[in-house]
Amino acid sequence: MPHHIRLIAWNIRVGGGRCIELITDQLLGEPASPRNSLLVASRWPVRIHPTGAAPTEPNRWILANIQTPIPFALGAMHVRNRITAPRPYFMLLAGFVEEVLGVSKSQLGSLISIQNVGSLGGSLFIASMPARDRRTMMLYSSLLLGVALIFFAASTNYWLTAGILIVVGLGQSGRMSLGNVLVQSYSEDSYRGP
Amino acid sequence: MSIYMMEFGVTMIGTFFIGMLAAWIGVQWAIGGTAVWLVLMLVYLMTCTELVRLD
Repeated sequence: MPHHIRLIAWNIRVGGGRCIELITDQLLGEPASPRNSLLVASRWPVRIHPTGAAPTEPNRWILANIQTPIPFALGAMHVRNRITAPRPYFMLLAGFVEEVLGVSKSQLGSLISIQNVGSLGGSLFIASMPARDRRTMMLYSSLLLGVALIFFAASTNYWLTAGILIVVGLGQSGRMSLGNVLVQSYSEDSYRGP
Repeated sequence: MSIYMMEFGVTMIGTFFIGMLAAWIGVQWAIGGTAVWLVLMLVYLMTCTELVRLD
């Protein structure tokens, strides 16, 4: 008789929303750790499998034996997310700031913060808008992003660049938020995870 | 959905080539050129594809 095992992976910090504290309290009986760490929960007994070499960050790595009728080993590793919202212009921002604007690293940080103000405004606007004309809004957000990036590339003035980055943030948040919403809306339930 | 998730990885490949382009023609032209390309693609998407039927 075949045994079916269902493995579910969940990023509590991303998927828990405002209930993170309650979820971790239910699971662990203690408040959430401020550090990223792994938790393996199973209906079957779990034994930590000893590893040959000790990892430098043990909270990011678990190798466990799951005592199912057909035992198996489960390896889980937390990998830092370095690619959320990948934006080529953002990757080049440090070089742009140094080469074109000629300002310090602290001013680079200020530019990033200013852009995030625009993103925050865009996200709040998207969250408050009714569920119609989302396609139009997404396309126009992307168009706004493209046009703003053209001006961003042409700008050699720090304060002008800062103002443009607010518009870039607005366009970026609209493009990403609405793109995500549309993909989720048009996907079958079975493709959206357990 | 899978193609959407693939975007996160493919974009990084694009970033690599944009970086090469920036080293070749300068960071301003690299960003500006790709921004113009983005606008052109959007005009195409807004006028010639089924994307206009989404809501």
